[in-house]
Amino acid sequence: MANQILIEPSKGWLRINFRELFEYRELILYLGWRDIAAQYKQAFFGLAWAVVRPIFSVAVYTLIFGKVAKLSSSGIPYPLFTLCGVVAWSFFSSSLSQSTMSLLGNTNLLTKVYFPRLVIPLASLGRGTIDFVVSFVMLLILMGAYRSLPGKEIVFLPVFLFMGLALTLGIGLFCSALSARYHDLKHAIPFFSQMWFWVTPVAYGLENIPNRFAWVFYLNPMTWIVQGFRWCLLGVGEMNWEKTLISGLFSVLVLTGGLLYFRKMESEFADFI
Amino acid sequence: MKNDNTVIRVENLSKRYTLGQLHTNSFRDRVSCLFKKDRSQKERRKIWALRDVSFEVKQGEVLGIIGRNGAGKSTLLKILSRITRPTNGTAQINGRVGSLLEVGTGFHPELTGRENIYLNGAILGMRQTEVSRKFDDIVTFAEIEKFLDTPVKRYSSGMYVRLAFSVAAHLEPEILLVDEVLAVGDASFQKKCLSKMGEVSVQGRTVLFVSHNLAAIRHLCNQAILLEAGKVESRGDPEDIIARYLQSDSTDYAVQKINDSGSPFRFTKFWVEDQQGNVIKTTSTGKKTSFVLQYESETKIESLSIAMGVFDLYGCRVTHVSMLDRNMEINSSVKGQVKCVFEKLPFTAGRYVITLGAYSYGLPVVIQRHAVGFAVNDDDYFGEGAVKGGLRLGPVMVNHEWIWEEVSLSK
Repeated sequence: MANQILIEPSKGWLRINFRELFEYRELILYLGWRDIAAQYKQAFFGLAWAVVRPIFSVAVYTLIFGKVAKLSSSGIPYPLFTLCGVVAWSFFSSSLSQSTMSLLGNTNLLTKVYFPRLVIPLASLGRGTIDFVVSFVMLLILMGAYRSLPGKEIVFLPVFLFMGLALTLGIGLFCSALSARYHDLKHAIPFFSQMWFWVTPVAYGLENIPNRFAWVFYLNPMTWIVQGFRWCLLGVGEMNWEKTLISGLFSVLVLTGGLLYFRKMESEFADFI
Repeated sequence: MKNDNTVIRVENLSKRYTLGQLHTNSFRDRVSCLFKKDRSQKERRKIWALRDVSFEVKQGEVLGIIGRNGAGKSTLLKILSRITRPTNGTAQINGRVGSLLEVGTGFHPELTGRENIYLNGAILGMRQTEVSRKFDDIVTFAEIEKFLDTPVKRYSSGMYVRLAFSVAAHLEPEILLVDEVLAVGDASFQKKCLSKMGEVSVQGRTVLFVSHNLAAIRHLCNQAILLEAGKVESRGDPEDIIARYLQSDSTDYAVQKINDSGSPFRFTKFWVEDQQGNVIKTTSTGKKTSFVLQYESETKIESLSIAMGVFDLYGCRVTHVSMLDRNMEINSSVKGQVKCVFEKLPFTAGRYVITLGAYSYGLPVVIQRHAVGFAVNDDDYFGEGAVKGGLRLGPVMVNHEWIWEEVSLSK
């Protein structure tokens, strides 16, 4: 027979069944869509929120850091400069908060139905993807308005997209599994994400950071993803390939670790959650 | 697999749970536990929900699984549905498995009926094309044609359950695992579901069916297993197994501990008292009987009312008693004991199970299906020393009188 299922006790670090995950691709899309649809149906302005949020952030950063603090933005108009950072950052932060809550928010599914557990954190990336797409389109419009055309560097954009995705998913997997096991983590993660924001050059350029604090930014892989986005799309600065490569490797490592950890924990979800 | 005909083979399946697991969900507890000197928290009690369970199911068999609360029925289905893993032992399944441990899992109140059909279909493992193909059947079966594009939060509870069951009923797995889902909906819909389940078995599919509804087991299954304390007590013809289940009087009906519901409000203990207030294991028809229930809550419950649904072992609801019927509510309570007194117990001989419900302002806080039980012996209900008692075919005795008069045929 075609489908043979063997059920046995879990044995530590298990292999990930990517083929099975692929079989469940429709469920990933449906769950992602459910979260988005339900969220925006409840809101009066619906999807408009996805547009309002980046506009608001960019306005605040431009006003505070550009106009009041008069920080430099590498010769690029300040709104364009920060919006590009917001595009890269919004996917990360919104996916992080969604995936942290993903398992806890789907307790009934976990305890009543079988499917590869990875489906849940993967589906939780839906919100982040919408936020990303909307703010990316806004960035393209703004680039058009400022007559700022991307150079040939844009061919490297997929590299940075992949880095961002790997890092986000990796950390998201850790957060979702950990918060399912230790419920109080869901309070800590938004705070942690807030701190992370301030050590990433989203609202201000890296050149404004005093040397003695620069190392924090250098160690942060998100720094090189945001810098990469600006380099690809706006042609800002020189690319630091060495540091980018290191954070790229680090992102892949986080993703692998996240997958393995999630896989190890997933057999317990139904019993603990 | 040795035999081609065997679709499920379970070998020495065991599952151990650690009691109190539910309450160590915070990181702080975990850390403080590490530093505790007496380590008492670390040595929490372990229980075996299943112990060395082995059996085989052949293609086309409809196997009923019966047993008391905590016998391991649900754990067994959870392992076979791959929701949780066994501690020891293995199970091999040949074929596409569909499991139905609850109807309407993943339904989202904000989404419309149409959207929820697709979503729930995907959750149950159906492809989009499959759902599209069966869409009209699902809608017709659920009788919700007019409300397809209404968010399900506006559905009546009956419509909601019908839609949920309808999606599940159109799943076409080779092996179907069902847990007590027929206990929902109104009587006519339950009948419809039962006949749908009957169809499934006629089509040669294999079904594993857990239920407290012995009538359904008798009606649908051609094999049955009796689970007792995590072990297979016996297996065979449903009629024999049901008889065994009804005979085996191993349940301790003295003071019953109630399983943790996992919610902040918990029913803790239940027992039956006679007229003098003694705890008794069995009561008798017509005698003054009190059902005593203790509860505790982590938060204060306002306008608390408690209700009990009494079911016979065939799954039929015999009666439902609620504090609300007697205009009674408890205010700002965190811990307490309620006593429900029957001046003259109407139930006839046999065993009954009780579903417990706690409500705040009339809205459910906790519903615990078949949480406790009690046993009744036959006795003289009317206290008139009727030597040749009636057949006692119904589950309740009702106060009544007989009047006879002679009538001439011409009248």
